[in-house]
Amino acid sequence: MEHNPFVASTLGEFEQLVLLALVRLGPEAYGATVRREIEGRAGRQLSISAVYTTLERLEQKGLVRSWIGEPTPQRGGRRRKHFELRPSGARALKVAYKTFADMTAGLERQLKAL
Amino acid sequence: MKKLALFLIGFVSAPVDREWIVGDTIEEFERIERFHGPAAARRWLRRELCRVLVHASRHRLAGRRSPGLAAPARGDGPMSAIWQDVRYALRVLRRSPGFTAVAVLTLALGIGANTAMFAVVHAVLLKPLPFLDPERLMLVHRLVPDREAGPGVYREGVWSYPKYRTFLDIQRAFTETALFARRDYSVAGDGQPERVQGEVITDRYPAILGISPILGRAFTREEAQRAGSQAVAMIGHGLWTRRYGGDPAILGRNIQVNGSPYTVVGVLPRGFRGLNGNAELWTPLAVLQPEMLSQLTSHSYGIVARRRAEVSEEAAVAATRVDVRRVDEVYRDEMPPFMPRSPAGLAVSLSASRADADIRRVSWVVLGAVGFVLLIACVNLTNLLAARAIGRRRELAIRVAIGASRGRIARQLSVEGLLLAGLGAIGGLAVASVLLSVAAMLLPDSDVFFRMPMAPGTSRIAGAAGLTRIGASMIGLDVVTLLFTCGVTIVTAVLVALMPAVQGSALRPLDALKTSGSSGTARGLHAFGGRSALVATQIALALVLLAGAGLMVRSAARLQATGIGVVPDRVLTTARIELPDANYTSETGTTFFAQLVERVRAVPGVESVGLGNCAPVSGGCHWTSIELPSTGRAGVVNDPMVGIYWATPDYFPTLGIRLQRGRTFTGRDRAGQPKVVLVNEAAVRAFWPRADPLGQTIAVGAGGFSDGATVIGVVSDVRYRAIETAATPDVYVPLAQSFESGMRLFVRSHLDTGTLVTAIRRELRALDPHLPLSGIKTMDEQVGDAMWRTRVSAWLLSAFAALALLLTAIGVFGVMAQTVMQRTAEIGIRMALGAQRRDVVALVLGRAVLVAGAGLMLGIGCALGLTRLITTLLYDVEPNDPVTFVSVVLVVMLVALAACYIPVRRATRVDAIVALRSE
Repeated sequence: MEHNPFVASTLGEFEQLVLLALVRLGPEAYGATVRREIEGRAGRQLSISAVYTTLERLEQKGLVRSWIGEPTPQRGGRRRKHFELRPSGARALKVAYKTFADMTAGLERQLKAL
Repeated sequence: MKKLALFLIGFVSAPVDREWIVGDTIEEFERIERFHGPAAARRWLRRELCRVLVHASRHRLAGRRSPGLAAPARGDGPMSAIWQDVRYALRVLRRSPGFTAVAVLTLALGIGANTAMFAVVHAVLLKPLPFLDPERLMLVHRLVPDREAGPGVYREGVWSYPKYRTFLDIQRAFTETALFARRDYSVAGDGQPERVQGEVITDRYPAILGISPILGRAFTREEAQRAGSQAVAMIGHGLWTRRYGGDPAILGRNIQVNGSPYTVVGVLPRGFRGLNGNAELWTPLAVLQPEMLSQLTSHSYGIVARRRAEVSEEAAVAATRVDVRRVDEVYRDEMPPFMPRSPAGLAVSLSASRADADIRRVSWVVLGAVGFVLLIACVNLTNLLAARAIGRRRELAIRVAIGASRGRIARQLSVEGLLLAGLGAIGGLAVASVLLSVAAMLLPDSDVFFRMPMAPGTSRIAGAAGLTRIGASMIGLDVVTLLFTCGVTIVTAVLVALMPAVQGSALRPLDALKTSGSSGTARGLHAFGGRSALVATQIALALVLLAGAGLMVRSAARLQATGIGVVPDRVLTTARIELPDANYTSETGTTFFAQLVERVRAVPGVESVGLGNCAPVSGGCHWTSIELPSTGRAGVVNDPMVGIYWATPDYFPTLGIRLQRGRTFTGRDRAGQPKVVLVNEAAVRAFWPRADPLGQTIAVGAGGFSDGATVIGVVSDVRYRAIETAATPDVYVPLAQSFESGMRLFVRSHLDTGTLVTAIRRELRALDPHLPLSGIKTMDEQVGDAMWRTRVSAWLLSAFAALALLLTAIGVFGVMAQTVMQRTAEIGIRMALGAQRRDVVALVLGRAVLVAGAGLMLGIGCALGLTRLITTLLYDVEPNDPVTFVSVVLVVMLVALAACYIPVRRATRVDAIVALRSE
């Protein structure tokens, strides 16, 4: 999918979670691990299709890229689709993080107390 | 479940992503299975499936909602128009939740019952057998004359080992063959002695079926086919886990089988229970019965064979026909003259022999019956929708008036039907899985579900009959069943939506707008004419179902009333107590049985105790040929063959078998005394129609009575084969004069079953702690089992017929209520002009009687044609039994009239003033 320069790269919340999972997983990032990461850390149940829908949207926005792995025996010979962050994705994540950090700066104690 | 869920997840995912999505799901499933167990993994998969389906319905069906990207805008193209229709239909359905609930529930019941029945039929008849290349597996039979059925009728016969070897040398159609036969074993040591069903086999048996041991190995050629080789055994997964705790160290261990040590060499996989469907223990042919290897006339084994890939099924059948005859020709001179000769052979595919013709027929008939129920449900819905369409004419007319095309309106109405059918199908799947799990709960034992008596004409080959045994728990919703449900749903949708769609598209907006919403017009009545026809069809369908059910119920009643020749109340029977040859001679065995009878009789509360080798209505046990030297009838009589039964003196009073003439056995009829036999009345009719049977000499070809014995009495007939099969000539020999190592206990007592079983077990253990006691049943249960098939079909058909009747009543009610409502004005005018209540009743009822009468005529016609299909399932009832037909017609008529009660009452209460004012 070609990068679409007209799309503003503001990130949805779920998109942020997925991108963060990619950062954490590095080369081990594919559908199952991304979902496991988000379920394990954010503690929310999600379907594998939701993960792929989001990853594909991120790919359309030019923020991540994907490649197909070799067939592995333990999944009935099915291949994996791996994902990794592109520089633009990293930038978008950084922007999102900075925005969040800027907005929360100095509020840590108050937020905890909420 | 797992396969189905994965299939569905893949199915709703985008094709490009299917591979990784399914792969990821499998990976996660296996991970959870590893860490949290299979139950948790299944739970997770179910939830995941729900999440994926919800996701798909939001994102894929609705078009992707990715903002600002290339997704098609709504309102573009035909797909999004249909989507619009769907959303509109959803809104319409949500607006009338009562109607929607009734409609969906009706369809869910109909589709659910169909899905469940299809799952059963699929598992029993259609699904490929779980073996390697099952389409190439065949059973090879010798055809032998069926003496009971009459001259020129042949049945499937079995093989002796020498004939099998000869067949192997001759045949070219099969790559591999194996012998197998059902055997019962006593397994002792490691806890309670236990009775286990199993098979004796030759070495290639598991390999031909494509089954390999999960532990250890199969038999070698040496072990299986050479007399005197080391005693080895393979055990089934069930026996392994149940008795040996799933211990892998079982390999190489000695277990006690029939009193001798056997070394376990292999464990067969879970779910494999042999071609008998019940086997848990396999021993090589050569070890259990080494003498059988050389006995030409010991026909005991079935052959299962794998067809060569290049030989077609027809070619294999043709070749076998000839080859088997050649086998018998080889032994022409060595065979005793009375032995039935095989004029030809028969090869049938294993898959085709899995259920007998009657089971097949029952399955299809019941499936057809459920199909009828669904049709009736569809008719009801069509009526409901048509009624609604009349009510919605204004709404539709406005849509037409502002520019909607007729096609668009028709499509809108079809989508509503489709949506209802779809929702009904989802509900139906839930209903089906509930029905199946209830069935699995009620019938937990894996061999109960399809156990059946040997009906006349059933093949008696060792093995083939058992193929009908499939546990209820093995029947589930699989992909094929799901596809069937989809098909049924589409047909349902078409049936439900067709009429409203046609009506809707024929709408004339001006007329519709001019008339008020609810009252009748000429055209309204015209539409109503169509609906009357539908209701008449419903009545006809219900009548057909009811007729079928009525005939089955009458058959069951007739069977129940048939005397089997014994008095079953308060009689308990056990499985055969089999004395192992290794530990018992005929002398010690005779003493053992005598002591057992004494001990059990001494139990307080026991009235009488007898031993016999065969239970009534159990398919029969042994048959033999006889000679009648004293009648002057020269030579051997093997037409008919005679049933031979071993019994102790008290066997007859215990079972309530009456002595008609002479005397029964006494304690004096023991070894060394003159040999005596009892015969049944059928034997008297067959052999001494005019002479006095008492004192006649009869030579029985089994049990050491071939030198002749004196007939000392005549007892009443007992149906040993099946309830449906009249008694054939039988001979009873006293156990004390002819030892038989396997005997059943028959006990008549006042005690409750539990107490009695404990007492019997105690007495048996006191005599020999290694003998298992199993298969304890009351005689009533034994009779009930023998009636299983008729009872189940009667019950299922009655349930479906009742449902059909209920749905029909609802249909009649709906249409009559509608008529009354539409004709309120007319009735009002009539009453204002002086019509009496009576006239109004006649007006409304006349209509109902017309509709019901048409339905009944149509139904009687169809029923007369269709009940012929179940002729072979009926017992002592003709398929056009007038009593059944008359009562069924009466029932349907009464129900139809009862459904008119409320509409008629409403009609008679019409107030002329009110009715006219509303116009």
